[in-house]
Amino acid sequence: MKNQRSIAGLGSRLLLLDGAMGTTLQRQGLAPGMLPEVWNLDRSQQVVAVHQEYLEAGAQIIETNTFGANRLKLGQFGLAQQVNQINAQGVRLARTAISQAGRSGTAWVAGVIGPLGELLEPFGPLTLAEARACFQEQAQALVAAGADLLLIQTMSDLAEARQGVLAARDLGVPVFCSLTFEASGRTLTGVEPEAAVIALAAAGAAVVGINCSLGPQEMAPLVARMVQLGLIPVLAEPNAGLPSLQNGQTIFPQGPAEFAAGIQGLIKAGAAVVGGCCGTTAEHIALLAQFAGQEVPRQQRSQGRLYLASRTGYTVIGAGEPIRLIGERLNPTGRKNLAAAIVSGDFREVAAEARKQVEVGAELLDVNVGVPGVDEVAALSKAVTVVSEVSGVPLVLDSTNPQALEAGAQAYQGKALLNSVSAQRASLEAILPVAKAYGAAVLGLTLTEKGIPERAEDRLAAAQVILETALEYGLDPNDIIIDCLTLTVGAQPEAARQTLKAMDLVKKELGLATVLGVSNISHGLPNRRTLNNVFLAMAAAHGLDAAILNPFALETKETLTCANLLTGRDGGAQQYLLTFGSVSPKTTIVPGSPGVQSDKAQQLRQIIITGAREECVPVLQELLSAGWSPLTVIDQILTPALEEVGRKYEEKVYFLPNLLLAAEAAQKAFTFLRSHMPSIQETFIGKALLATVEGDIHDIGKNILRALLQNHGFETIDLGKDVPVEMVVKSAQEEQPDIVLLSALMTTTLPAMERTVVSLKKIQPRLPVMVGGAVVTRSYAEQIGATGYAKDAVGGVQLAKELVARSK
Amino acid sequence: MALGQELVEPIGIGAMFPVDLKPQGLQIGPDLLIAGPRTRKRLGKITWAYLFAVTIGPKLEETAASFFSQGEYTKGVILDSIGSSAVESLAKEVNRRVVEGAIQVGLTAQERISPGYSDWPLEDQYQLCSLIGTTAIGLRLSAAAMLQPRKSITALIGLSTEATGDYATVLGCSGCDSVECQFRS
Repeated sequence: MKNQRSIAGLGSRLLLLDGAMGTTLQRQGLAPGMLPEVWNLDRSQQVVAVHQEYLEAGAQIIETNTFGANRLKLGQFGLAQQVNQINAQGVRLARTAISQAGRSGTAWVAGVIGPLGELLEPFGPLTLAEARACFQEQAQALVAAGADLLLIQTMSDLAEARQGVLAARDLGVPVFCSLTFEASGRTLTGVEPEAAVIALAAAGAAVVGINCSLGPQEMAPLVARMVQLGLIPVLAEPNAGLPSLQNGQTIFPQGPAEFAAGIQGLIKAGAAVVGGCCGTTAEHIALLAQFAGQEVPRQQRSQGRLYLASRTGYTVIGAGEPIRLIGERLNPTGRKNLAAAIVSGDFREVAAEARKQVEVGAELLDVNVGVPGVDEVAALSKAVTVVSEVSGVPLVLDSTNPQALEAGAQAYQGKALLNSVSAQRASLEAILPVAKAYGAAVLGLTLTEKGIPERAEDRLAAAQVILETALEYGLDPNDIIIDCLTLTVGAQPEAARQTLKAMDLVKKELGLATVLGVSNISHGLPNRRTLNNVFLAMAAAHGLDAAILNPFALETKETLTCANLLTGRDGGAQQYLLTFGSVSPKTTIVPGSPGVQSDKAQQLRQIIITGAREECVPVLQELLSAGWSPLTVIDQILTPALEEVGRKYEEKVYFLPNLLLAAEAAQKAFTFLRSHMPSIQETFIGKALLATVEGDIHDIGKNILRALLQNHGFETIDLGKDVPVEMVVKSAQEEQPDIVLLSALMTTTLPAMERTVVSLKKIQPRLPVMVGGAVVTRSYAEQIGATGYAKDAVGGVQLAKELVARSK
Repeated sequence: MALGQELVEPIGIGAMFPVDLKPQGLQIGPDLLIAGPRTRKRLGKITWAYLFAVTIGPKLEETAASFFSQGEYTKGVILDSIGSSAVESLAKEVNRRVVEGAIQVGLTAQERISPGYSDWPLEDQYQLCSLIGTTAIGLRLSAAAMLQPRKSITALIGLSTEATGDYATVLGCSGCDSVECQFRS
């Protein structure tokens, strides 16, 4: 990477960006739905005037009017051939404004690049290569026309942002990249702030940050989280407060003074570059000019602290963090089924294995597809994609084939750990450039041309060779983790002691994080499990930071938890108490039947919670044949699992799709149990009558409620949509339900809801009648005399249970 | 997504009508009179109204319903959302083309509004649909003025030679009396 141009003061002095372009042009008459970039050609004076206003206000970096000037977006307006022209003109207009203002040398032009407007696979149709080509075209046009830096902004998907940075980083100017976060603290596709900084800094961004969507107040805690990593300067460009959309008009509430006060909070949080996004004007920026040039304190990253990221989340290894568990089970060695699946190209088994390991606590996953005879280059790339889709943890790409590692690193949309490089010349020359090119960290084996050195001092020397060569290739020293190699103690009595001593030396002399594959120690010996665990505990005492382990081995995980506590890596003993301090859920739900059965019960519970409905029936069959009654299955497994799902939904851990997937799985279980035990009918907790009221044909909410009611043990009678008042009343008399639930979406059909409630109450005053639906409110429910109101299906089920229990 | 695309059968119909600014409201065609004060204020002195209807047809909602009855709730809900989003984009696209076309003939076009917004009664759907002849695209109205197929939109875009209409008169959430509504933004 050759950044010839640099921005004076970046990272040490506060730099001031400008404010909004799009919303400013709209106020000047740009019609909604029109491309602002077209004005670069048609009404260039107005664009220059906006730049001038911001320069006069004190902005040091002005942003070109090129946000949507990529091939895909321009193509929608028939302008795909003008990518170069529109971008070059955008830069020229900004330059013109700078020279007219006499600010050459003290103000810089940021070539702005926005999202492509299409989603990347697997969410959308765009491939990584297509996205990168689009970004490259626009970035080249901007730099060729003289942009001083590139600013990729308003990104939601880390994969898209990463392709942008990779496409832009080698053009000789610094690349700034900012994402847009929701109030929940994640982007639309679920990216955490830390993951964004880790992956994009590794990909080569000079500055990472946040713009748009939030006001300064909401943005500050997210900026603080980015800054504390101590990686690169952080940018913040908030909107003028949280916008409210009012029928086509977007209103931004904060005036200049309030906005400036908010920006002070961002500076306090550590932002090194600030400016304004939507709704901000030159007046907003003028009040920020007082902060420009302030000293920015830099967060130092502690030595030996390794960051890794997935497409959404991240993990920190080393420097006093708990020892991280790297799941080792995605490895076909000695596993016939997995190997066969990889050879046949069926990666469902790989996905399932990944998901299961994360469920039991793996914090990273090692991915190895080295089956003899398989095309490892294609297989690793496919496995990386499949595993990333089902798990949010960072990946360790494991192969002896450098081409396969390169393909995997290319497919991975985060910051991966490459497993592995050794101190052998050929290995260093093959792997380190891949790590640099794709922004990955490396796992270094203390292995030399002569094999594994016996003495600890020689392993240290090997680690040193790896570190020094990595530095020559431009890698960050903290992106290296060393494996001092476990040899089998049965063959060499000194093996364990030399490994542990080498770890001490690597820590002390080089300050690097360390990792071990533990199980090799016990090869050929009896009582392997205990031996492995004792060695793990000893390694912990010698500064182990991560271990490649089988996450399904309970004692091993318990050893790890204990070791973390004893080595001061479990502040406040939180993890220890969480693991051992209370009765775990699985011992409460199983009725005195340990062993295989309790595993199955736990498995069914997980199946419902994760909504893996295809796996449901075989487990139920095993439970029934082991003597569980359907009633016990419902009471002890299904109902608690569904309650857990409801809790997750309320806590916003789960969203509607998770809820529905769980409902489908539960539905499958209930159907199975019913078909095997007709007498199960007696277990219904009540009969519910549902209807969407007269005149209203929107029934999706009612259908979701019906599914959840069934799952929670209600017998349901669904009268459908647009149900006349008389029909509801008649059914209520004939069916004798325990509760009636009515829904309406439209305000215009609320009167029909009222008529239905009143008619029902007249005939059966004690029958509970619940109402809900988009426009129904609690006070409206009270006003029309309904017994209860719920705002969503989860709340509806809870209240229905209470009301039925009370009336019985 | 792919299934959704197969099931979406986009079709639309629309026409331009002169607007008669009468003391009692905006008269469009023989039967449609927009009398609500908020809607009138929002539209202002428009001289033309482009009325249109778009639908994605019945197939998608039928398939979504059958997913639901088979216990495939996720697929049902996702398909339903795809339908909503498809018909919204369809209306948006019509709006965009009208805005662009208007510029070319020297007119200013507003953003679309629909019966049922604010004080424009939903029942005016009947007049609007008969004016543009929505039966030609298979769009019908229920007794309660609901569009069928459900994934359909009817709307009006106001046009004038000079910018008119009070955009501060919002017909969306803040102009609505339902202050506790959970969808209020």
